[in-house]
Order: sequence, then C-alpha cells, then structure tokens
Amino acid sequence: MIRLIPSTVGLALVIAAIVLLPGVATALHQPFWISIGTRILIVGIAVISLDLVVGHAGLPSFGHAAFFGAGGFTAGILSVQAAADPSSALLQLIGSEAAVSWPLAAAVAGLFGLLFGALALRTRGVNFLMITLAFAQMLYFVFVSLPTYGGDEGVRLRQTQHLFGRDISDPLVFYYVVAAMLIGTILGMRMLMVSRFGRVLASCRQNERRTRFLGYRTDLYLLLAFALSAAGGGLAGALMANHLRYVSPQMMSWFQSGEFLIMNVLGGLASSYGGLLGAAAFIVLHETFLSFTEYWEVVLGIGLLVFVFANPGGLARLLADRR
Amino acid sequence: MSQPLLRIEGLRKSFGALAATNDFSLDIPTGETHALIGPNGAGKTTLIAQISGELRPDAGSIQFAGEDITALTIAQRVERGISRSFQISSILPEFTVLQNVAIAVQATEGHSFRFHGDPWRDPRVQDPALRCLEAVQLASKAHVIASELAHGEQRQLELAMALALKPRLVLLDEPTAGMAQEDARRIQALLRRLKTGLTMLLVEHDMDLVFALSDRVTVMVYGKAVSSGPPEQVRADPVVREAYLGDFP
Repeated sequence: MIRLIPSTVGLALVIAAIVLLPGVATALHQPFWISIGTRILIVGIAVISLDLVVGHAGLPSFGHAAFFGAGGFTAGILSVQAAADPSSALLQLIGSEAAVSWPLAAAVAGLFGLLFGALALRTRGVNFLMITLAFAQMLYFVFVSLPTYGGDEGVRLRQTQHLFGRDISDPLVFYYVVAAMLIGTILGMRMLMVSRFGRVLASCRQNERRTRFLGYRTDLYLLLAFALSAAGGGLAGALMANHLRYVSPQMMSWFQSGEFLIMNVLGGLASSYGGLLGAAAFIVLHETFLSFTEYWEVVLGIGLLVFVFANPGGLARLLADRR
Repeated sequence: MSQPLLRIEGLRKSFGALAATNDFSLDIPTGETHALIGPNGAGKTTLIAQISGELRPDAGSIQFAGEDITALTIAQRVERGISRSFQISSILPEFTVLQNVAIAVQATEGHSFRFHGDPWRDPRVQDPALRCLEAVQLASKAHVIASELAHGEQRQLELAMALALKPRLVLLDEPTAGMAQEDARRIQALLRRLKTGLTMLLVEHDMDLVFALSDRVTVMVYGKAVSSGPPEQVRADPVVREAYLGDFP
C-alpha cells in the first residue's frame, strides 16, 4: 500500500487548496475556476455523504441522486413560491434565507432517506442496489411530470440568496460559504467514522451477521446512516440549486447517481475527504477531455479501470485517509 | 427446586418434509457444560439457531432464566445473556484482534447511537477487551489484523468475542471444527479453564473434548434427543451405540 503522507497532513493540504483556489484563480486571470471549484465542492459534499452508506456501511446505494434532487427541488420550490407571492413575508424569508432553506432541504431529503431506507434495507447486495435505483427513478418521473415546477424543463430560482440576512450571491462569497459547509462535512465525517456509531457501521460492513449476534440491531444503525447520507445529499442539492440558480429533474437521474458512485470509488471508499478528491478528479477530467473529444467517457472509463485496479483504495488512500 | 437456566420444551422446526427439530426438549442448569452430539444432519446447528434467535421454531418454547424467550429477537437474547460462536469462524476481518473484542464490549454499554468520542481510545472499552483476550491467551496478538490470524487463533478470537458480551449462556457451535489435533487440545484446555462460572452448550464432534469437558451429554438423531445424561452413562447406552457411536472406544 502506497501511503504518501499521514491523514491529518492530507486533510490540511486539502483545506489549504480549498482556501487558496480563488486567490490563485484571480492571480492567473481564470475566474472561471471559482465557478468550477464551487461545483466541485458541492458535488464533494454529495459524494462524501454517499460514502457514509457505500463506503463506511458497505451498502451499494444507486439512488443518491434522488436525495440530491429532493434537496435541490426543496430550495427551488421555496424560491418559486416566494416569487409567486411577494406579499408574504414568511415566504420571502423561507425562499431567500439559506439558514432556513438549506436545513429544510436536508431535512426533506433525510425524510425521503428514512422512507426509502426503511424499505430498501429489507434487502442487501444487488437487490438493495436495484431498490434504491427504483425509488430514485420513481422520484425522477414524479418531478418530470410535475408541470407546476417546470416538468422536464425544471425551475429557475429568482430570489437573491441570503445567509443570516447577508447577500451571498457574489461568486467568491458563495464559494467560501460552500467551502465552509464542505469542511464541516469532512470534519463531521471524521468524527462520525471513529465514533461508536461509526465503528458499528464498519462492523456491519465487514460481517453484518456477526454484528447482529453481538446484540446490535444492525437495521437501525444502517437506516440512520442511510438517512444521514440522504440529508447530506439534500444539502448538496440545495447548494447546487443556489449555485446554478436552476434545478431540473436531471439532478435525480440514474446517470447522476452513477456519477456519484464513480466519484466515490475513484476518491476512495470509507474515507473522509476522498469524495472531494473523486469529485475534483472527475469534474476536472470532464472539463479537460470534453474540449478534446465528445467521447470523453470512453477515455474516462478506461482510465478509471486502470486506476481502480492499481489503487483499490482510491485517491484518498494515497493520502492515508482511512482509520 | 431451582429452575434451569435454559429450558427447551417440545421444540419443532421443519424445512419442507424434513423435521430438523422434532419434539426436542432439554434442561440446562446454571453452571453446567452440556455437550450436544450427533451425526451430521442431526439438527444441532438448527437447534443453536433457534436458541440464539436466528430461526423461529414452528412449535414449542424456549425459556431462559424463567422467561419465555421464544419470540424474542437476537438482540434481546444477547441482552439477556445468550452469546454464541459460529461453526465457520465469524470475525471482523479488517479490524485488529483487539478491535474485534472492543466492538463486542461496546455492545454491552447499551446502544451505540453515539457520534462523538472514539471507543478505541476509551479505557472502559479497551481494558475489558484486553482482559478477554488474556482469558483466551490471545493478548500477544492484540494488534494483529484479524484476517491474518491462523485458523486456530481465529477460533480463540471468536471465544473472546462471545465472552466479552458477559454471557450467562454460551452456545459454542463446534469450537474445534477444522482444527489440527494440537490446536484442538489447546482450545480444550482453554474451555476447561473457562467453564467454571459459565454455562455452556457445546456442539462438538471431537469426542475426546466432549467427554473431557461436559457434565452432561445429549445425543441428537434426526432432530430428536435419543439419550441424555452424564458422559459415562451416554457412552454405555445401547441406543446411542446403535444410532451413532458405533466406532466408539
């Protein structure tokens, strides 16, 4: 196993890179990097939260996009409602205040997670994967056929976003707000993975039957992990809605779920910031190769195969980001 | 009359036409080491699965310390003090040996919906875990990754995990399965030391171990108890010799 540097040093490097990126982008006259950076950080939150289920608990979830989309649409719908009724102070507040709409988006996605998880966790393995996929597709088709919220077209967010009353629509400000959420997610994950709860999840991943015979009600631990993961996905969705000022059912498509999974594996399963590395690698490669060839997925696919066989621990393992 | 720790009455479990447990009854008093022997397919592992809560019996009842536990979940039975080991070693391969036992100790603390603080740096978890490893003579391997243990050592680890749950009754499903003679004797010596203060139900094919350790033996054939009593009595029982122990010393 290649271990370049200890985990805490890796974390410090990652945080330094996040903080310094806008400065570097400005110095090199590449303001576009800030926008891509914001997207990477948001997707990073989604992938890290997915890793709680896939990596730490060992459940192959193929429906994470549903929660990403649920969070996105929560923010989007609130914004549309606020725009439709400018006289309602309450709607104005909910629709434009991130301190309200983001936690709400996470809660809505978390509730979907509880519901889907309670049913999907009656199975394991490939069946679990198929059921999570089926639930995500159901939600996708519900939103595609909702004309009120744009149907296939999606909805545009018209409210200016505020956080505790302060305007955060400036790209640089928004970048740092997202960065703070991401770093919070990483630190939360690091706390969780070594806690009693995290150890039980790791035990389930290795041998659920044994864990059950130690007296743990494994279903409940896995369900909570699934709901927390969904809430994280929902938060990322709301951030993405604010970033793009637009949400569409495409956020919930199985293609999006697949991309999250690829990024998770690429970044490293059962890590803390691996999801961010996976998201960064995937999005940067995407942007780079897309300018050369339309068939960049072929290149990515082959590259991913080679990388994963050579490095089963993913990018994070190179930074020793495990246990 | 003191009640037995475990009382099984009229237990039945069928898989299609096969009666794996066929009107099986058994009492195990506190402190007894009870061996369950019988030919392959007699239903021993199925019985263990019903006592530990993995399988629901079709009929009959299981009482533990006077309480009917027939309908309880696995977790509820573990909480009341029933722990088990497995016929095929069942450990947590990525954890170290100590961490395997620590997660078992952690299970005795009540629920683990706790999100802050590392149990592996908590002496309230680590110290008891280490003591369990000492009890099975595996403390020297505490920091070895469990999957790297030899087969015999994995069986010792399983014992430590079962003990860490502070059980009142330990169900041991073939603790020496697949072991070399030498390792099996080591486990035998270990169980001999552990049996004081523990109640054990032991499924085993190793007759040397069964007759050296057990206070009573039950012979199971086709899901039924055909004989039950002290080892010498069972050994001499003509029914047993006919049914099972043909090649017996």
